[in-house]
Amino acid sequence: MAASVTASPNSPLVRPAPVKSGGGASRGRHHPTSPGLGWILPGFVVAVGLIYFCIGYLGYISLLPWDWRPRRPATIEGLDSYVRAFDSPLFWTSLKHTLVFFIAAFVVQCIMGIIFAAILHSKVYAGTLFKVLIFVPVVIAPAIMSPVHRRVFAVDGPINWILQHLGMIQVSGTGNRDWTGWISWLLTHIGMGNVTPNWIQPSTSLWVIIAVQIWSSIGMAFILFYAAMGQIDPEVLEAARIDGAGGIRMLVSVVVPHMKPTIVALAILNAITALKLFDFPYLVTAGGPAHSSEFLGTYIYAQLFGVSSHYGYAATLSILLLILALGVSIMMSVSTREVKPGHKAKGVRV
Amino acid sequence: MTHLGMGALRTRKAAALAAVAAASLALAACSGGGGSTNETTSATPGPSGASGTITWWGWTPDTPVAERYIAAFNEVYPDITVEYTNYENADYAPTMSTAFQTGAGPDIFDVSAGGNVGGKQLWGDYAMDLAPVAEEVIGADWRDKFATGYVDQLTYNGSVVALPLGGVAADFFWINKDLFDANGVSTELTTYAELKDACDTFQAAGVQCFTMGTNSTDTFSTELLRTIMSSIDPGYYMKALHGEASWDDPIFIQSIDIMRQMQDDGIIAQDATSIKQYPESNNNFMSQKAAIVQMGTWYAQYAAEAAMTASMEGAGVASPVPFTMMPMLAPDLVGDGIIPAYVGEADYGIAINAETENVEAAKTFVTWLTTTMEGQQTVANAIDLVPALVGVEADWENLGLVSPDIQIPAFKAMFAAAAAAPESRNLYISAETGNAQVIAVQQALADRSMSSADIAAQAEADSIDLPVE
Repeated sequence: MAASVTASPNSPLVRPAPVKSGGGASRGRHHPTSPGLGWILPGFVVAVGLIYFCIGYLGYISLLPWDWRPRRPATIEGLDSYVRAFDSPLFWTSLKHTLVFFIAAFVVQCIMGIIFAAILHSKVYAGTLFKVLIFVPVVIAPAIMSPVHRRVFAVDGPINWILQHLGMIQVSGTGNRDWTGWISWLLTHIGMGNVTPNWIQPSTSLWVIIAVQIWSSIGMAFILFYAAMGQIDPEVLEAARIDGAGGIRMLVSVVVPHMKPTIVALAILNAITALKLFDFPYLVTAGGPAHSSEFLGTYIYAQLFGVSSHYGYAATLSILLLILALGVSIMMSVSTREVKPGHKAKGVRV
Repeated sequence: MTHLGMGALRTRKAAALAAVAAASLALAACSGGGGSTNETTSATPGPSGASGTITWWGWTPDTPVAERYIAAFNEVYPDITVEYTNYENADYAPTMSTAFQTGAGPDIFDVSAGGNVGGKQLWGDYAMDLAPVAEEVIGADWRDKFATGYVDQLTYNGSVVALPLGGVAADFFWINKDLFDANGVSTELTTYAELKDACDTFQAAGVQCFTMGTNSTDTFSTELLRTIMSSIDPGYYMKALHGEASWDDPIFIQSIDIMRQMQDDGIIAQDATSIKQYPESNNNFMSQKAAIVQMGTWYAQYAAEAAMTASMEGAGVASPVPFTMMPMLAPDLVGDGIIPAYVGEADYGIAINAETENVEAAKTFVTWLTTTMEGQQTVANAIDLVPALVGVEADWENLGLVSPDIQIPAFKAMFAAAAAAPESRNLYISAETGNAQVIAVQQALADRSMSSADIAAQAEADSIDLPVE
C-alpha cells in the first residue's frame, strides 16, 4: 500500500488512492478531511511534543530571572533577560564573530572550492587522490582534529617552525618568539605592533578558528562545485570557447554564473554552521583568550555550564539564536526561490 | 578552583592500572599497621546492614586514588559496591546539571567549598543535609572532630551539604629537583632575580622554566596572579573579595604588570595562552619538559614512585624514570621581602543525593570515608588531601616516595602549613569573580593592546563578590 502511494506521486496517471488499512485509514473513509492523520500522528507527536514543547519551555525559562536555576523559585520577570542580553557587549561580540566567520569562511570556500573543482575537472595527474585528500577533512570529527589544530598553532608548533625557517620569526634569549625585522616593521605600520607569533591571542584567535573551519569544510564546497560543474552543458562551454573565451574568462563568465544555486546552497550551509558553531571554538581556543573567539554557541554553553549555571540567561540567548536562525533561514529561502528560474533554465528540473 | 580531575590521568587509565595495583597493595599493607592513628580505627562504625551499589561522581580524586579508597572500604563493607566516575573539570558541571534534571544523578557526588566546578552554590541544592547523619555516627560533638572551618565551608543555606574528605592549599610552586640539580640551580629561589636567572639557565639547557596554562575557563591561571597580589599586600585579595577593596586597585594593576614582566623575561612561557593547565602544563612538568609548575597540595600524590610512573606515562614518556618533585615557596616576586603564605580550605566533601534510593549504602560509604579513622587514614595515605579528621597523618615511611629522606620533611611541613593556611582559597570567589580574573590573566598575557589599568577596570566591572559569611 505504501508503495502505491509513493511510487510515482507526481504522475498524472496515478490517482491518489484511498488508504485501505489502518485505523486512520478506516476513519478516513467516513471523515474525508483527515485521511492521513493516523499515519502522521507519531511524527506529529514527536515533533510537537518533543521539539516544540522544548522550544516553548525554553521560552518560559527565558522569562525567569537571568540567574534562575532548577529548584529555585520560578517567578516570571518578563523580558529582563532579553534586556540583559542586548546590553551585554559579549552578546554583540559573539554576533560579530559569527558574522565575520560566515563571510570569511563562505568567501574562501567559494573561491577555493571553485578553483579546486575547476582544476580537477581538467585532466590532472592523480586527480582521484587529490579529490580524496581534499575531502578527507570533512569526515574527520572536530573533537579528533582539535588537539592537532592546537598543536599546529602552538607557539612552538609547525606553523611557527616554518615561519622561523623562512626567516620571519626569531627566538630571543628568553625563549620568546618574535617577528624579524621587516615583518615587525610591517605589523607596526598597520597598527598590529602588539601581535606576537602566538596565534592563540585576541588579535588572531578568531582567524585561527576560521582557518580551522575552512580546512575542515573546504572538501564539501569542492564536492558541491565539482558536481555543479559536471552539470553544465558542454555545448555552452564549447560555444564560449568558439567565441574566444580563455580559461579564466570561461570560469568567471560561464561556469560561475551557472553555479549560482550551488553558491546559494553553500551560503545556507555556512550560515547554519556559523550560527551553531561550537566544537572548534570550544575545543581549540575555549572561546578565548578573553572571549576573542567567542560565538553564540560557546557563550550559551558558558552561561549554562561554565560560570554558574545561569539557566534563565542561557535560555534567553538560545531563544535569540533561534530567532536569528529563523530569520536567516527565511532570508535564504527567499534567495533560493529567486535563483530557481535560472537553475531551471539550465535544464535541471526543480 | 580546587584540585582536580587531573585530565591527563583520565586518559591513562590503562597505564595507571598497574600503578594502582601496586599502590593498593602497598597502602593496604600500611593501612593495617604502623601508624599510631590506626589504633583508633575501631571508631564508630557506619550504619549497619547496608548493601547494594552506589554511584559516585567527582572531578577529583583521580580514578586510581578513588579505587584505593573503595578497596579499603570494601574490606570493611564488602556488600556495598561503589562505582566511581571521574570527570574532567569542564565536564563535571554539564554532566551533573543534565543528570539532575533527568533524575539520573549519582547517589553521591563531590561538592567543594567554592569555585566554578563543584562549588556548593552549584550543587548544594541537590544534596541532603548530612548534619543529622554525622551526629548519629560520631556524636553530638561531631563538628569538633573535623579540622577547623571545614564543616562550615561545606554548609549551604544552613544545610551541611557534604562531609569533608580533606583540605587543600595552594599559592606555591612545585619543582623538578632532578632538573634543578642537573642544571646547578638552587632549589630555594627567593627573589625575582634568582627566579629569572634560573629560567635563563633552564632556557639555555633547552628546558622550559615555568609552565602555565591559561587557555581555559578554570581558575588555575589566576593563582599566580593572587600569589603576586599577596606578595604586594598579603591582605588585599581577601579585602577585595569582601568588597573592602576594588579589583582596579593599584595592587591589581601592579600584579598585571609583574605578570607581563615575567612573560617578557621568559619566566612565564610564551605558550601560556594557548595551552591549558590540565592536561598540557601538567604534562609538561610530568614529562620533565618544564622545571616549575604552580600547583597545590594535591600534587603531592604524584611524588610516590608508582603514581609518578603512571603520570609520566600519561604525559607521553615511554620509559619513565621517576624524578624527585618538591614544593617550593613562591619567590618574592615584587621585591618587598614578602613571601606569600599558603591559602587553603576544605577541598571537597562528598554529598548524598537527596533523591537517592540507596540512602543507607550511601551514608555508610560517606561516613566511613570522612568520619572514621581508618577511612581518613586511607585518604591521608593518598597524600592528595590534608585529612579532614583531626589527628590523622599519612604513614609517610610507607608511601613509596621517590626520595623519602628529603620529601618527607618537606611534605610534612607543606601539609602543616596547608592545615594552618590563614586565608581561604576559593571559598569567597564567586563564579563571576573567578571568571573575571581568568579573563584578566588572559588579557595580561595575550593582549598587549590593553593597558594593565584597563584590564583591572574590566575585572572590577565583571566581578560579583560574595557577601562575607
